Amino acid sequence: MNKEKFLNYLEVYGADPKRWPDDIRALAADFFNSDDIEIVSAISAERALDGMLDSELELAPISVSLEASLIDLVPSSNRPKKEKFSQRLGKLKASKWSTAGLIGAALMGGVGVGYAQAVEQAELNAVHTMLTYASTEEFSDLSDNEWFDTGEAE
Amino acid sequence: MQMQSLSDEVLVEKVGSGDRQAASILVRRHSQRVLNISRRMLSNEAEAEDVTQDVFLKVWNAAAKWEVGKAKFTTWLHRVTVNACLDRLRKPKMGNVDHIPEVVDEAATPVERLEAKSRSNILKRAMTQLPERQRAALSLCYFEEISNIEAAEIMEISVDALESLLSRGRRKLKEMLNVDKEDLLVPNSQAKATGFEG
Repeated sequence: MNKEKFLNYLEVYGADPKRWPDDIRALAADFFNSDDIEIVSAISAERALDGMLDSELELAPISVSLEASLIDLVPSSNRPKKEKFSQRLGKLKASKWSTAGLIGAALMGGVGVGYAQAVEQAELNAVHTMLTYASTEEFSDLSDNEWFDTGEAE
Repeated sequence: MQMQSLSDEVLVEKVGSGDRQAASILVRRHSQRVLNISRRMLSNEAEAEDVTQDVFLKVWNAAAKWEVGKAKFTTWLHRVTVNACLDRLRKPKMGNVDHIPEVVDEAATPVERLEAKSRSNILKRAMTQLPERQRAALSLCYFEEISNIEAAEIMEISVDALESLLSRGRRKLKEMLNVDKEDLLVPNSQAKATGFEG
């Protein structure tokens, strides 16, 4: 550190040594206590500017409403997504086989219920058809035997 | 582990997965400084608040892609802030100046308050006349007390370039504020009271 460098740093960081970077502050100690008239006047000028700047150090605190609005800006895409059924099923902590078993049973049950409903529906349709025929004039006088006569005997 | 004790980087990652509590901690930690940098660079409260919102929106949007250990959060945050302010300053100005709210010193007399307000207005006017990058350097290093190395990183320049901005900014302020070396010559004993402690 020499006088010229010290004066340069003084213009950069001001007259308060605490604001100087640690590494150069240690080297500048003697210059801060110098009697050199140029250094003394330079320190005074920088201290005057520091005083003015220091009066502006403190600003009003941020408002609660601005803080709240900043938190509200978190986009919805960042919010946790709804878990898929498969993920929730996985979280049951059952073994993979029991999970597979559950899925299989559910599928079989579904197919079984569906098949039973289909059979029941088909039977209902047949009865409905028969009743429709029975209600027509052409077939209303037929006896029970005639109803089931397929004509194969002739 | 308590959320409050988590690092910024971990909190940003949590925001990325939708954690609003992490977002609220980050806002409480950093919004004041973002607003202050914006206030000093823009000298307009409404614009400073707008920039603060823009900056945090950028943070939230980037959070999902944030990788812990890749960058220091505050350096990145302050870089986004300075760049947002520089963008604003380069846009054509509309409307009038909306003054930055000051902290009222209740202990001061009305005359003292008036004098302080007048000094404050002169300084603010001088600050607005500084080139924008000099203003940014002073805002980061002097007012926000960010180290020269980090401020240089924020502004994406070398430490030498930052020091050059600082000295030119301070020199210009001294000229505008009539802080003249010759006028300020003081007795040696007073000048030596620098507060230097080694």
